[in-house]
Amino acid sequence: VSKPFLIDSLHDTHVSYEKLAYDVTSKKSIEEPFDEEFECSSLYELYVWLVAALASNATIAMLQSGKIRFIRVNPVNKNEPTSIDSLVEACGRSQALVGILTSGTTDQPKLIWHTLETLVRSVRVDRSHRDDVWGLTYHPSHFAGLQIFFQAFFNRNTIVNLRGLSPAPMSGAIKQLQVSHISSTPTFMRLVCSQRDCFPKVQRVSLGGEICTEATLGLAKNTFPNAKIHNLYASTDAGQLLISDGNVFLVPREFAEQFQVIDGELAVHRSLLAKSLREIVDTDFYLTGDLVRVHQESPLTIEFLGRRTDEINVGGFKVNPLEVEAAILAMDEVVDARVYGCSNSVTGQVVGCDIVKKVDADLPTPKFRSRLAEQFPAYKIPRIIQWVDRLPSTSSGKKQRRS
Amino acid sequence: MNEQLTRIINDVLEDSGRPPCSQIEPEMRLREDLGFDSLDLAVLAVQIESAIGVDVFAIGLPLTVEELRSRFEQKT
Repeated sequence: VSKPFLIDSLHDTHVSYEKLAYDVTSKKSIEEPFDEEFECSSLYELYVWLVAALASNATIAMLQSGKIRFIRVNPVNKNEPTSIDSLVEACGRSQALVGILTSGTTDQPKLIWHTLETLVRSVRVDRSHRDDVWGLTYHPSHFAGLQIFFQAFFNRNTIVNLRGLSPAPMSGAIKQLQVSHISSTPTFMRLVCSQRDCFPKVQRVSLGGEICTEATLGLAKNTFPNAKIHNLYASTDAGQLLISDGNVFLVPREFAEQFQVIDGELAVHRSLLAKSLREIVDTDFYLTGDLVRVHQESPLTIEFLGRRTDEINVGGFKVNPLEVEAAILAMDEVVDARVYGCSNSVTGQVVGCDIVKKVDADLPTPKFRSRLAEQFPAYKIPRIIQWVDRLPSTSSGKKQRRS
Repeated sequence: MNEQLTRIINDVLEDSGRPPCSQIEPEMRLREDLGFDSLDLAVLAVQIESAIGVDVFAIGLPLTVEELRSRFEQKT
């Protein structure tokens, strides 16, 4: 039996690598240049088009809600062998340009164009990865989702779709299909962990896309007792850059000259940026928008504090929503929380939050507030409080940051 | 006194850990008599806006309950 490429219970998909190779080379429409958007009807169809684009060095934009746009298409040479080996090999030396939308937690999403260089910078291919099974929790078109695809595809691993499943079937899929590797946002991880289930067979859990609090790391450790748990720092602008086992990241020696902290914000050298950004950035260093605290200058060691644009300004006092969120998430009664600014004409903004309580939790608003008052000045304590069943998240699985 | 406005004022008071005011009089001053600080006023502005869809503080801070009430009732 040949190895499955993709198992996606939402679309009744169970396809092998051989079937993928067949479907990619039989895509007839790719022979005709066209410039139009179309919506993929399933995760599998999206991957077929992506592989076809890579194999034919096309220019392809990954848009929202599974839409794809081919900008430029080079026909797949029908005379080439259609084996999965030659297809993987062709993808490995692809000159394709892949457009990815920024996640837009606060801004309008914009397209960033990547070459394979920035897309697969952190992909590792070797025999030790031969039997990995990847749980996909990200949108397949976003940077983190594409990372999973490349890591799995180049190692011929099976991808199991977990995105869009409710917690119970997701737990079932992780166990039955023996998922060994999961990569997700901390927000998604809190959803997985809310089941109080345990997955001893998972070997590796990677968290990224948002700040990961100690509380969330602790939850993940309990839920995945045998897994190595990592925190990733990646961006749509520059690809995956740093890895750590906690909240503090050591910049590796090979990047020493390419990272700087300017006015509390991380800046990366333009050589690390995606192709389209590298072409338009005219300074040597590019501000990432990520606020950091420097723990050590050399070798540079930093802790991420949040996005500059997420800062809340209460009458001139700056509030980092993640600092307040971390304190709320540390409470036993709380499953998840989102802290944001509410605009008003008195103080500019005031702190608001949405909170998801555990089902049996006893946490009336005054008790909640007085606990926060033990550690924060008044302006940092959320004043607009909503108890909700679920938090809104962006299509990339991150918390929506706008109020 | 407008019932909806009374409820919003008392919610904000309770919210910041103070007892509700049983008798809100028009001539009461928001800061001196009801004890609202800037943060309370900000919350009041947000709550009123979410109730009636208009920011009645946009034209400047009302000083008294009466001033607030007339702006509130004009918009409801």
